[in-house]
Amino acid sequence: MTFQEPGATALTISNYVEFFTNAKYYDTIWRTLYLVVPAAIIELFIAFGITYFIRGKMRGGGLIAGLTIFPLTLGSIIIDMAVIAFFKPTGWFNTTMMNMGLLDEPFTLVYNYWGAFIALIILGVAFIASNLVGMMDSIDPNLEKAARTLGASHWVTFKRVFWPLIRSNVLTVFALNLIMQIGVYSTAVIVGNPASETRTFVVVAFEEAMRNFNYNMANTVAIVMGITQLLVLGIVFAIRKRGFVGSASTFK
Amino acid sequence: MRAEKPIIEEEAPTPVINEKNRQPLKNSKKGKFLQGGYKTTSWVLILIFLTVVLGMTLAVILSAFGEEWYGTILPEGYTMEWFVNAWQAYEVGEYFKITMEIVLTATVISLVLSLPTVYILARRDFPFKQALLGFFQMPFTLPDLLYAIPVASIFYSIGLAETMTGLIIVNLIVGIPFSVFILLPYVESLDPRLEYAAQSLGASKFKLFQRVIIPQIIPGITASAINIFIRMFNTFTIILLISGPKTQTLNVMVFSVLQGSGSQPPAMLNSLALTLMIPLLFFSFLSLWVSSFTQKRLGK
Repeated sequence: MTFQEPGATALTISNYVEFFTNAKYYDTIWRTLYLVVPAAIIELFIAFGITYFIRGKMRGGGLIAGLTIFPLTLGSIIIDMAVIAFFKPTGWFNTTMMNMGLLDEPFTLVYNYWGAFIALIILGVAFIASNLVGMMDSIDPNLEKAARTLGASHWVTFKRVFWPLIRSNVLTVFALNLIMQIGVYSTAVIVGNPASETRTFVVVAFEEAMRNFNYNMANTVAIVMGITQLLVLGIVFAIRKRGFVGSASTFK
Repeated sequence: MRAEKPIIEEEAPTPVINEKNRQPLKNSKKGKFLQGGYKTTSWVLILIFLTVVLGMTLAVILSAFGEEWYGTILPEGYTMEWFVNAWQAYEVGEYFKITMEIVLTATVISLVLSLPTVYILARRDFPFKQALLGFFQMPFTLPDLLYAIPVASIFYSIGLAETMTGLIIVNLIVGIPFSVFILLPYVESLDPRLEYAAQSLGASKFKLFQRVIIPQIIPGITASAINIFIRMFNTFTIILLISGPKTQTLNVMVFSVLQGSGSQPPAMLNSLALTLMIPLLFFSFLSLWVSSFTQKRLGK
């Protein structure tokens, strides 16, 4: 279908030519990546920090994990509404900041790049954390204990023992999260600014399909999105292959 | 216990070595400082994230029930007015009914269809099994859009779009793979000898399913039912593409209202979001309760 023009039956590559020559279309690639990749990296750090800290037997760890994962059950629309309610110019965030004297006038954090960024981070952290909690439990704590009794410091234990074991799984989850977020739509439309800053792949695809009824072009956008995702995946998995890949609990 | 004893005895000298080697680290100021810094950073990270998450949830709830709220910490009064208005203006009840019909039907159908699939995947070995498993994984590793647009164009050309049947079928695309993956470990852990016994006593395939297999995986079925229900309730992209004005789900309706917001007061929009949130919260607590209950029953 992507090789057809609307109304015609002959095969052409005009849709692809159109995509890569018209700035209206090809800009979406950079816009999407510019929004999603930094967000994904920050998400990974936050989620890893939280789950690493509460792993093992810590009091209240279960509660913290539950609350961190909680946004995932709400779904993106409610998170978007919540981001607006919390970060809008008269919302709690700006009111508190101004009362504390940290800000003179409210930050505009919604209906632009940052709104979509925050909403993505909250959902992404929840997704990554939900996967990491199980993975960290599956690593044999005796390995770490052994390293500690042999005189390694916390940092060396983490760098030499824990991280190599969990590395490949973390990168897999990171890749999955990245893929999911490249397809961001409701967030980009509701808290973002779909006309310019957060005009992602999906926004354009929907416009073509719902407003212009040009399903061929919409499919073309979807295919380009798929190819971009595969490229991103390829990069992440190339990094992943350069270390130990396998089950961390049994070494089989 | 008896088997563990020698290990403990072997470990006995380790504390000495342990203490010795740890000494410089424990006393060094740098180590202490780094340790403290790490702990503080982690707590700050956790506190900030949880404050934002809880604050957001509370802000939506308060705004939905608040009278007037502009620039103050708490709303000036509380009212049900927004809620009632939103409910009436957008016929939320009607959409709620449609959504429930679609999602419940789809949940039942995906459970019925996924059970035999899971059984075969768990018990038989056949060529391309891994490929098939990978295929089942696709709908939740790929973003919806990649299959949503082709599916939508097909549905429009064969006239399934904007009908209840079409919406149910689309939900199945989401539901079946997910339910297969939740049920798979449960079925894999069943003891096949029970089935041999039943078969040797003359049970038919159907009886086998009804009397032997199903009762053993009831926890798995409940977990999968609740999870796919939440997931389908949240399904959005593909439904938005193929739904008509009379067959929208609640989610899509709320989204279309939000997209054209600006004419409505934000409190009303928050009330709408809350109507979506309540069933989701209810079902996620139910799923937590069910999983902890079954874990207790299984003695884990």
